[in-house]
Formats: sequence, C-alpha cells, structure tokens
Amino acid sequence: MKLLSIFDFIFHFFKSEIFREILALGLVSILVVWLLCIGMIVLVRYEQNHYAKLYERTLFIIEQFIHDNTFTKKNFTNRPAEMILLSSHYASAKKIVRSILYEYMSILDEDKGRSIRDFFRDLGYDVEGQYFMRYNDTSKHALAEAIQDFAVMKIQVDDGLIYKGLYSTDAGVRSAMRKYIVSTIASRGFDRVFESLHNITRLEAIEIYHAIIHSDYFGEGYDFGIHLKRHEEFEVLNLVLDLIVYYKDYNALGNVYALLATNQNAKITIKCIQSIGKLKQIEAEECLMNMYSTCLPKVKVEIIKALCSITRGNSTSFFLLAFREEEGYELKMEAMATLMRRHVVPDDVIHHFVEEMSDIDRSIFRYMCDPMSHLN
Amino acid sequence: MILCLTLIDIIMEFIFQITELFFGLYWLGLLAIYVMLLFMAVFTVRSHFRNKDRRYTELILESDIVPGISIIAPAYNESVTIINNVRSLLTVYYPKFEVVIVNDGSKDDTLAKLIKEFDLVPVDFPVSYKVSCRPIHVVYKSKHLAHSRLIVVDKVNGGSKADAVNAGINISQYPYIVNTDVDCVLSSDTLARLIEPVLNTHKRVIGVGATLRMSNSSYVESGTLVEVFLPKQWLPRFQEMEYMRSYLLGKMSWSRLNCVSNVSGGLGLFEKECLIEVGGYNHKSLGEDMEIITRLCKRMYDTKEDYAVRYIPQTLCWTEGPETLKYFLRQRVRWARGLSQIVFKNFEVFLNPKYGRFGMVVFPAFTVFEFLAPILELAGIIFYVYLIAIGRLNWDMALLLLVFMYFFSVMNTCFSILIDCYIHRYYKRISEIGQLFLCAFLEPITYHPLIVFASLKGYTLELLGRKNSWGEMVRKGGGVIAPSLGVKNK
Repeated sequence: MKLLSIFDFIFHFFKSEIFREILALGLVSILVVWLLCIGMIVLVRYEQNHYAKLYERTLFIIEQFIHDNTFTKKNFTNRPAEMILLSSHYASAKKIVRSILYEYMSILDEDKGRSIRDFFRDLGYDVEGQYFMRYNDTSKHALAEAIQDFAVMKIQVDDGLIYKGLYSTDAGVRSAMRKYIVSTIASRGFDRVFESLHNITRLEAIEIYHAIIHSDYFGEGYDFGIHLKRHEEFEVLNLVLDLIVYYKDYNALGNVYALLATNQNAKITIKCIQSIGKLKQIEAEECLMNMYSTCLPKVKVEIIKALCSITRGNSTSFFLLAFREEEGYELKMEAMATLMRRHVVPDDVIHHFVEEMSDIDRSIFRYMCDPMSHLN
Repeated sequence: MILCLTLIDIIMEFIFQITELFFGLYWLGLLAIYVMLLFMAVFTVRSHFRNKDRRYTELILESDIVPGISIIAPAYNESVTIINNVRSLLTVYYPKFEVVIVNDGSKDDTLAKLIKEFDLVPVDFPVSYKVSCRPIHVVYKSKHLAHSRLIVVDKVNGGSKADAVNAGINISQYPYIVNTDVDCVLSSDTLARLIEPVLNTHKRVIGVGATLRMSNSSYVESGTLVEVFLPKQWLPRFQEMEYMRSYLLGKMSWSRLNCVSNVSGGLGLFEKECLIEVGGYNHKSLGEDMEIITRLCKRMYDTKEDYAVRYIPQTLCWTEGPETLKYFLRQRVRWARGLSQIVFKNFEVFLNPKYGRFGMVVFPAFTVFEFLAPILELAGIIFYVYLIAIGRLNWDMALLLLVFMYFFSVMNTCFSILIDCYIHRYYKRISEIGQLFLCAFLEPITYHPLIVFASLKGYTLELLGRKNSWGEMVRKGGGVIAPSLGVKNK
C-alpha cells in the first residue's frame, strides 16, 4: 500500500506544475553550465598559452643566470629571477622558477648545486616553506611542496615537524618527509623512516628505495636486516630485501634466513629466495636444496633460479633430477636453462637424456639449446 | 458489456499510467547517474593533478625493481600497417617488457613482412597452454639484439581476438600483460602509466584501462604520434567525441567508485595470474573485453579477495576508427551482440548481494542504463507516437522534456571537452574545439540514432542466433604520415 502511494505521488509529481517549473529551472541551469564550459575553455586555453610563453621566457633567463653564476662564476645577482617573480602572474612564475631550479638541483653536483640551492633560498622559498610547515594544516599539497623545497635546500627542521610529516594523514606529505630525511640526514634518519612505514603501497616502497640509493649513503654502517625482524608487512619487507641486495649487505643474510624459516607467506618466501639468489651466497645452496622438496611449485621455480645464479656447481645432479622428475613445465624449463648455462652436463648424459625425453621435454631442451632464445 | 468495456478501460488506463511512471523513473535514474558522473569527474581531475606533481612516471621509468610487462597485440591481415605498428610498440619505454605479436592465421603477407623487416627466425619454443587457444605453429624471434624484445607467434586462425590474446598469454613471460590492437599507436610512457595504479593501490588491481582516441587525421611518423589533429571525416569525429565523453566522464568517474565494468580491448593492463585463473579470454564472446572483466570480478568475489579495476585519464592509445558507415555499423552491431551475451550469460549476478558492489551496482547499472537503453528508447518513441495517435500527448511538457534532454546531452559533451582541454591540451586550434562543439549539437540527432539502430540490430541478431564474423577493417595506415617525410597517404 505504502509503495503504491509512493508511486502515486511520483506519478502526480510528474504531471504537476512544480515538475514543469523544475524542468524549466534545470534547462536554465544547463544553459548556464554550458556557457560556463565555453568560458572555462577560453580561460584554460589562455592560461595554457600564457604559461607556455612565460615558461619559455623564464627558462631563458634562469638558464642564463645559472650559466653566469654557476659555470662561469660571474657576479652573483638574483635580480632577473626576482623580476620574474615580481611579474604580474606571480603564482605561475613561482611554479615555473621552482620546476626549472629543481631540474638543475637534481642534476648538478655538490658545489654547483649548492649555489643554486642558495639562490633558491634567496628567492624566499625557505621562508614560505617554514610558514607552510608551521602554520598550514589545510593545504597538504602546499605542505608537501614545502618539505620538498627544504629537502633540495638541505635545510634542517626540528624533530616535531619531522614527526608531524612522517605520520601525516596525507600520502604526499609522508612521502616528501621520508625523502627529506633520507636526503638531509641519510643513514642517521633511516630508523625513523622505517619505523614510520605502515600500510605503504608498492610505489611508495619504490620511492623510498630510490631516495635511499640516490642519497649520500654508500652502504656502510647501517644494518637493514634488523627491519626484517621488526616488520611483517610484505611491502616493507620487500623494500628492505631490495635494499639488502642493492648494498650487497651480507651481514643481513642471517636475518633473511630467519625470515625464510619463520614466515608463512609464499610471497615473502619467494622474495627471500630471490634476494639470496641475487646475493650469490654459496652457503645458501645447501639451505635452498634442503627446503626444495617441501615447497609449493612456484617457490620451487624460484629456488631453481636462485641456485642457478649461485653457480657453484654442486647442485648439477639436483637440477638433472628436477628436470627429469618434476611435472611442472616452468620448473623443467628453469632446470634445463640452468644446466645449459653452466655447461657442466657431460655430452653422454645429455644424449642419454634426449633419448629418454618426452616430446615436451625434448622441445624444452631444443629451445634451451637454441642461441635465439634470448633468455637473459 | 458496458461493465466489461469499463474494466478494459480501467486496465488500459492502469497500464498507461504504469508505463508513464516507468519512463519517468528511468529518466530520473539516468539523469541522476549523469549528474553524479559530472561531479565525480571534477574530483577525478583534481586528484589526477595532485598525483601528477609527484612524478611517479619518471620514478617507474628509471626503476629496476618494477614488474615486467608483456604487450600482446593480435594481427589478422594487417599487412598495410604491420611494420609501422610493430615499430610503434617497440618504441615504448619501460625497464622490463616484451612485445608479443600474434599472427592469427593471416591470409595476406603480414607474417612475411614481419620476418623480412625484423630478421625473424623460428625458435623451438616449448609452448605451455595455460589457457586454451588454437594451435601455435611457430614462434619467431629476431636475430638482432635490438629487437630482442619482439616475439612473433604464428597460429591457426581462431576466428576471434580472444583466441589470439590467449595464445599471447601462453607465450608471455612477465606477470602483467597489456592487451592492445596491433593498429594502435601507443604513447611511449604507456606501460609506466598503466602500471602506476597497480603499484599505488593497496588492493589487488586486476585491470587498468586508459583513454583511447582516434588517430585518423593525426600525424604519425615511424609508428610515433607526432601531432594530433581532429579527424577530418564526420564519423571518426563523432567517435572521438563519444570516446572523450565516455572515458573522461564515464569510466574515470566509475573508476573512482571502483565500479568499472569494462576495460577497453584497445588498451588494457591485466594481471596474468588472474587471467590464467579464470581460463583466459572467452573466444566465443563478441565483447571479450567486457566479458573478461565480468568473469574476473566474479572470481574475486568467489575467492573473497578485495580487488580494484582502475582507469587513468591520460590518452595512451591512438586507434584508427571506422570511416565508412558499413564498417562502423558492423563494429557497433558486434559490440551490441557482445553486450547482450554478457547480460544473458551472467544474469545471476544481477542484484545478487554475493557479488557485492559488482552485483548490486556495476552489473545492474550497465544492464539497465546501457543494455536496455536502446530498447527503451525505441519503446519511448513508440509510446510517444501512441500518445499522439490517441490525442493524449501533453505537447508543452513533451517539448520541454525533449529540449531539456537535448541540452543536457550537449552540456555533458561540452563538459567532457572542457576536461579534455584542461588535461590533455591536444587540440591547438580553436577551430578544432569549435568543430567538437558542433558535433556535440549534432550528435543527438545524427550519430546517436545510428548507435541505437546498431544496438537494436545487434540484439535482434543475437536473439535470432545468427552467426557473427569479426570481419576486416580496411586500414589506411593509422593516421597521416608526417609532412616531414614528404608523403601523405590521405
């Protein structure tokens, strides 16, 4: 009954004068929005053209300035850039100057980079950054930008602000603060960065990885392995293992083995095995061969790949057995690939093998023998 | 007798009122969805610009720890364009990728041209048929290390793109695949842009799509898009406008709600493991791109895994749209048949709480507002004619509604043109934007009836169980060759 009365109401509503008036009002609104669209398109195109022209002009002036002050060491003056910033389109000009200087600061080395950083500071970006970091809680985007500016200027900020940035609700601010810490205080700040890593995405992990490997830290003195005990999230462990591999941190291997033995997640197991393989640690051969029989097929493939990269040769018989007895196509392929790369299998063994092979095994064998396989 | 006639009159009046009410409610629902999409589009563009500042693309491009991607591009009788197109695919920049061209039993010299141009030789590739496809004859690789990323697969014609893509999945070695058409011109940062949502989402991202556009009159040099021009022909121009609206307003907004129903077959990134789990593409489906998303989503709900399907606003793929009515209608009839197959085959999903958001929102939305739309449009016209015939049409209201809907449609399109100008800045000339505006005004009375006709024809053919062939499209070369080469093929 209630439903019928609702339908009745709607039905009469469609026929009512109010509906007609709403439609007319809607039509007027549509026309207004339509006119606004045209107006916005004109405005957007004007802004884009203006930005392009301003960029062209600014690039020329800033490049000239950088050339004079950084490369030929003429008199240092900020006047041209200040003039740009004082021009009528202040916000656009500031954005352009910032982006051009960022490019230069990221490619120039310490001394030359420093003079540009000083210039950047002289243009007032540090004052603006200080303001945003201390007083602005509404615009997260501006705050992230301020932290980025501080990172390129290598300006120290106090602990309270670092904490606020690392645990911000905004991913952009968190990411900027991590990069700031890594670039300004390097390995002394790694602990704080890793402590703050919770619920990160793969891309955030990649961002931190690149920030660390491009920082002033060259792989001595910091124990990344300790974070394998402290964290449980896959992305964080993945990041730590990538860093261990990048810095060839053999001291961390104990923690990697421990993680391999205790964790229940196949993704983490695979990552650990891959890392061990990349570190080419001969001692790992025994451990990997022992765990082989109890593993899932996709883990077995990774064990074979890892053993292959360790290349001591003790595991040749193991590979022959894997090729002969395993059923998985990928496993067979990896096992044969390893044998072919090692050139350790005696001809008679191969001939004997080929005779006994099934069709699929023979095609795998032929493919591996083919120089066109481009496997590596 | 009088009582009987009165009863019939009452019943007729009741049916009449129910019909009116139904159309009214449908109209309100459609309007509400479009208004929601308009608002969502604003937020999407805003967040897009925020992320842009973080330079993720550069980060991905310079990283050695990103996952590898296999580009799979089926080719059937593509002799005219194949070399430039493969070159285009090979110019994509990404740390770890391979290009798998699947020659789906072409009758022309597609394969011969590839062998000659890229110095291909057969390799004894042991194929593992993880998903079903017609037999693979030979796998070719190039002798030149410069083309070591290229793999060409020659297989028995499977009669559908799905079968060819499945063959590509069987050959591919990386954990993600990009399904594209060989005639598509890809932007050089396509893979980095497509993988970004996968790496930047906490959920398991099973598919990512991007905006497709028409390359018909644009300048293409060595498989790379040099300059974008609005298509000169009317049909591709309407399609350009339709794609713009569909991707920038529709799919982007649905993506924000994690309610994407379809990742275009022209360009889509998928997790390979997921595709293998559902048995790959369905070679019997005529809308294989939408069908695979439906099956993937169902699978995710069956296994109770949280997932996401994403769309990104960047235009990464340029494709040659049909220029003649014949090819255009054939394409749209096929799409309509594909849509009807999916609706009928998966109807158990409709308003089924087991399938969560997909069953309660996505599937009902595309069933009611996409699949049923042409049928209801025709029914609406018939109802209007009936009302005129019996003299019960309220002319004032009918005209007001008509004008309202016409301008609402025009406004929607103009809004998508505005978003396009804001994000992409492809059209440098004011005249091109003016032409798009003109298209927006002409579309409801010229292009839209064609779409309705093709959809209804498609549904009818499907209902009658007529056999469908994919057919071939005459390629002219994916755009115009850049004037710097001194040659123009159009």
